[in-house]
Amino acid sequence: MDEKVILLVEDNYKDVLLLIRAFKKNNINNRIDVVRDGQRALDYLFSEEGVLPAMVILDLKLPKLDGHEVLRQIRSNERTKQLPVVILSSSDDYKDIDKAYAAGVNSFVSKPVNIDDFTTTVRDLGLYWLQINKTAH
Amino acid sequence: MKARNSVRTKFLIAFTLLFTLGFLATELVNIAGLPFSSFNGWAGNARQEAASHLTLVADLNQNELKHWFVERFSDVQIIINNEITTADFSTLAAFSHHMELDGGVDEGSWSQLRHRGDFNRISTFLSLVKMTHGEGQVNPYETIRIIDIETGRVLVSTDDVEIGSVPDIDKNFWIENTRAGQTSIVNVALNLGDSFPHLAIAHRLMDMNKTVIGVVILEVTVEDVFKPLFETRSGLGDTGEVVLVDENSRILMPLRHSLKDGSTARVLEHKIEAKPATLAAAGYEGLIESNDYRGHEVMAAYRHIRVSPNWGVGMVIKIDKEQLYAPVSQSVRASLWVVTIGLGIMVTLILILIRQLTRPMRQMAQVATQLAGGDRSVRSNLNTKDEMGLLSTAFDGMADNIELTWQKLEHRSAELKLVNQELESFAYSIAHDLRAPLRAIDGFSQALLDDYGEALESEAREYIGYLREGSQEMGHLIDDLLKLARVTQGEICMGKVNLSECAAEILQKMKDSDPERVVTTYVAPGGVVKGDTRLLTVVMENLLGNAWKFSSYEQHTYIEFNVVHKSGRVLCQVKDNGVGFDMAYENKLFEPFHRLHSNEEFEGSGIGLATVQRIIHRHNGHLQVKSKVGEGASFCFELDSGEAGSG
Repeated sequence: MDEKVILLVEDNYKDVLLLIRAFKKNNINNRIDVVRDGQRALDYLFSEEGVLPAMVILDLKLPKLDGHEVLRQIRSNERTKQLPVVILSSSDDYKDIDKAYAAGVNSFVSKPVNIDDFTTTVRDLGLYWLQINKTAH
Repeated sequence: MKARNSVRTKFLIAFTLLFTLGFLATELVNIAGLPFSSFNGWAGNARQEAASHLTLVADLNQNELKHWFVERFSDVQIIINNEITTADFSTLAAFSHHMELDGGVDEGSWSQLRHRGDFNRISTFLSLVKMTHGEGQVNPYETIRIIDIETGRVLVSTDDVEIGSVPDIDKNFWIENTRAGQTSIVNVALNLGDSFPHLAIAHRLMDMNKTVIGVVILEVTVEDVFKPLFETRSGLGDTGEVVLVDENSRILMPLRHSLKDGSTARVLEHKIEAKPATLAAAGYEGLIESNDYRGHEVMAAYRHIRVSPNWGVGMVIKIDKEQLYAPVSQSVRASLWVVTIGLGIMVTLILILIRQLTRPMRQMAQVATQLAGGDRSVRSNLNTKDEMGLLSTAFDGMADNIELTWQKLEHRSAELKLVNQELESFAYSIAHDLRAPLRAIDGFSQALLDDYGEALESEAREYIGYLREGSQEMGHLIDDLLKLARVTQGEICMGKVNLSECAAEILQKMKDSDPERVVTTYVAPGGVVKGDTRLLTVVMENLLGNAWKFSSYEQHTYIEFNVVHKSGRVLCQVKDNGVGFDMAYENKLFEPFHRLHSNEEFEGSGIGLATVQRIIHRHNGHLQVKSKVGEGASFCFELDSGEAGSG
């Protein structure tokens, strides 16, 4: 399980910290690579020598390129289009949700304000997607 | 666009009706006269004229006939009251009786009679009487003879051949009637091949001692007096006819027309049943409008001429009503033609006129239609100085106003759209930007507790707990506010929503979340309404959630969802047996953030019912609430039915 890398695209460093804490708390000790904006996320994913992460956790509101655009580009690239992408956003607007699912997101999760709920959500996400990936190999 | 009951048609119908009615009234007055006035009209005049004419002709003819018969009877009187006849015939009769008794009734004995003085005197006298009417006029007498009362033989006659014979007609007829006491008898007969009958007037002859000794018989030709009548039209017109009948209504001369069955009536045989003839035959006189022997409607004057106690003549002088009214109907026909042509011209003129009149109307209608269709640039611009011009000006002014208002509205709506967008992005910001810091507060408070909890005093840990509480409360507020904002904005996506299923699902979820609670629920089936699934689900979640929440202190919770259908609408009710509330606060209930209970009693933001009310309003519904403290609450709302036929 440890070799599976999670790519976290998130500009809010507090959220990054909380997310990493949540993973740790749930004994998910995969490597988590963090990028701060959409462009860097694409650079990370589209670099020839880089290894693809096991899953991408994507925020919607990002500097430079927003989450929707990043998702679109991931899905339109031959190499990354099967990549599990989960949107973890503060938004629970149905417009965002519809748009993300239409663009081919695997899961759309609203970030709960309550840290306990947040932790549970993050745990479920990690377990589910990393587990799926594992059995698929 | 075509008007179904166009002005043109209405005008046309109105004018035509008016014209026709006017004509009919005038014509009616013309023909029939004015009611309750002395003005008679054509028909009345024609009748009066015909009546007086018929009366005149009838009186003239009656007089003529009467006079003619009087003449005959005065001739009779001359014969019977003359000494020559009375004295000489008794001697002649006595002689003939002797002659007969002697057995000599052959030619020789009759020539003996011819040489007698009395015979010759009577013969000469009778010839004289016969000849009296011979000068300048047709002699009415064929034969004048005297027959013997005893034997019935002709003893004297103007026709020498007859002498000694018994006349054609049965001798008993004359003799028996005379003996029976009749003074004068008239007999009518028709000779074979004749058109006019033959009349025999008989009168008893008495001697000085008033003993009846014979019968004087005058054979009379009526042709001479009847024929002029038959042929006469004397101003009666083509259909004028004189009909003569005897006392039994049998015709005395030929009829001019065939009978109803087409046959020709035979003189002295055919009996007329028609009223004028029967009245005349019965002795009445007057004027009548009735049917004649053909069944035709006629106007007839009828008269009676009494000839003898046993015989009289009924006379009918008639003309066909058809002829009577011929001038009237002719003039009616003529005026009908005039009216028809007039009507045609009038209709054409009216059509042209109305076309002229309605053209601006049609133009206006077209402009109005275009305007209604969305082309706001069109104007009627009639520029006429009549009422239509006024209308056009007013209409164009209105169109200008519409255009102006439209522009204003468009401007406003653009502004509103902008504001809306701003609001939406504002809400979005709240969601995204406010939640993250809150999460940070909550998250790092927890992190603080997790990592350094042991190093902190218990009071400090308590404070950190409050920190988390506060941030979480704010998080809920933000969630609810966002919900309310989305409900108010956003488009409604109409569809069929089954509220019964929705309610059942929500209730099941709530039961699952707290299996310990004793809850009885009832969900009525068939709550299918027209609306936005997402929004109506929010309504059900809120109402059922409230019911669940405010009945949480009951030992046994009852929650109902009821449905009533009424004419295309569905009335839904969510009812609980919870704490309820005072209806005095009903208005406050729907204000956002306004709460009737403390947070310690019941958690909540006070947004739920405000949201519910807005959603119901946006569905053209109405939310009603009924409650009493401690007796639960019931929320009712009405929505359009989602069933077929409700539109």
